[in-house]
Amino acid sequence: MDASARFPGGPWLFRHLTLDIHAGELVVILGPNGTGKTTLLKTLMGLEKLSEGSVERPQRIGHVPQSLEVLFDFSVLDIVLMGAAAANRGLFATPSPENYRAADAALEQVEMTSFRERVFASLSGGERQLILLARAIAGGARLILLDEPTAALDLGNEEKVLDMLARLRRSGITLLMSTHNPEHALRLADRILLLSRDGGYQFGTVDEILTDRTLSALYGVPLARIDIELADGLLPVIARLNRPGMYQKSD
Amino acid sequence: MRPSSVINLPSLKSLAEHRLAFFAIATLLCLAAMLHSIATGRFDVSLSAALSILLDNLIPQQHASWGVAEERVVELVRVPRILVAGIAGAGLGAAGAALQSLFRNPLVAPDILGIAPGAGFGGALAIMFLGTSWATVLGSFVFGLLAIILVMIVARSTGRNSTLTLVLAGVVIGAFFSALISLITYLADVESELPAILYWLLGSFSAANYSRALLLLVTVVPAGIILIALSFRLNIMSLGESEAAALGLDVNRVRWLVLLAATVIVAGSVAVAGIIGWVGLVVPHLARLFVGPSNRVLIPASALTGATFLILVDTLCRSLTAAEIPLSVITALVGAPVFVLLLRRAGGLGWSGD
Repeated sequence: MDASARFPGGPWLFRHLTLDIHAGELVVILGPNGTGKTTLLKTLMGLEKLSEGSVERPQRIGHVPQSLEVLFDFSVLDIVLMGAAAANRGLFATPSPENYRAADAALEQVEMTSFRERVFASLSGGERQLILLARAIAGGARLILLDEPTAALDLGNEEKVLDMLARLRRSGITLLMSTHNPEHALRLADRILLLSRDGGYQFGTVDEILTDRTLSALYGVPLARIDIELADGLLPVIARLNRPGMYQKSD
Repeated sequence: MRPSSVINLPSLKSLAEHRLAFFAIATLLCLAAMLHSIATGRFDVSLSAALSILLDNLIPQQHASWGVAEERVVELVRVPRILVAGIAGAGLGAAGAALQSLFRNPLVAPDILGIAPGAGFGGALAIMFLGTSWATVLGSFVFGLLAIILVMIVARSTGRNSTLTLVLAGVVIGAFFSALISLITYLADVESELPAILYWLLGSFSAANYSRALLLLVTVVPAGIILIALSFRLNIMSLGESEAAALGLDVNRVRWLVLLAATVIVAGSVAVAGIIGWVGLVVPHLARLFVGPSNRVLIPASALTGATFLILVDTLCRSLTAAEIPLSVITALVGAPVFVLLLRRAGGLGWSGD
């Protein structure tokens, strides 16, 4: 793809963005607010038109929003079926037996089968995100776009969702996920797309992109990548180096 | 009955059984309401006589045990009236359920889009200038459609093709036509036209006959089939437009088809019986309590409940007092407390908005 986008009359969010995402890859999109992460995902889904350029995309793309408010008491199965059968055509389009099978298989894949008949709106935020992943899988998508999928979750639920993303990646599903937390990229990403405020971008491996300098420049606060030594290996984390007095020059 | 707690949703199998039980009981209630209605009224006709009269059309009876007057009352007054009330109620119930999903708002009713005031204005205009009942029917139909076309034009002219602009445009156009209705009632002749207009606006099935029942049949039934055809897509629409679009739904097409079907239903019912409030609001909530939120079941269930409700209300209207009470008076007097009861119910109305 060679994509450019801006809001009418506004500055370029991104320009001549060229991404070539491989099947089975997990790509994390990083960037401060207002750099076009959501817009990029929307153009990939075909919900927003590009100002210039074109996108080559697979026929079926799944998506997971930051959160989904469901007004009526639909069951988990109802929600997953909507993903499985939304593309059905015909005058009286309703879920087919295959759609039911796909929905059940997807629920099993995210290990939420026991929630099948629960009311979706009554689930916790983390459980809902897992169900939304199942919804994307049930639609037959091999590429799933996630727009800050953990932004509304507490730490424990965030962990569950990230863990599931890693497992889906291993099962061969391609994932493209935007996030505000560079640690997600550190832990999960094969490659990182970094959108900056001036409309520019960088695309590369974790080690290429997540340097202390780029990180600090990106968010405008001093950040550093640190490896914590654990019994079974190194755990990379991102530390904020802005504790008062600690790193400030005293004149 | 569906348990009130949202957590303990019955398993799908038992939900399906509940739905079956609901449709069985609701059908029986609807039949009972029809039979009750046919044998109720100022003119005394026993149920057995009424049934014999109806049966006579299928299998001619040897000895007629009823008089000509009874036969005329049953065949020319009550049966068409029940048909009209039933079809209008079914249509309004189904349209209400569909619109509540489309607008993701449980307080939406067919009245909100300005169709009813538009159709009301057209009918009132016809009563004032032409005075014939067919002109009233035609006038309300044409202006009901005109109202929704205006709503579409206003909504499109803002450049945003969203549901919210549509609701706002509907409110504006509705207010515009309500003002025109006020103007008509102000200008109407106090002796003759004004009472006719006011009575018609409040809704009544007293002018029901077979040709009006036919008019309703050819409007409500096709529109209802469209709504049922779109019912699964309406489930997806209730997640919100951007979600529905992201799932691959043709949002614009579904939206306009649902609006068109709802308009045809509302304009048809206003044309035949004036403005009937509350049915499209309360009936879907009542049905949703029993069958859940999925439109594939909810829309038929709302249609059945709506038909029963309006037949019962109409029976009340023409039997409570010597003079007929306008429909909207009873639908509001019954609908408002029922709605309050539904709101108070533990577990809510089967929707989770807060």
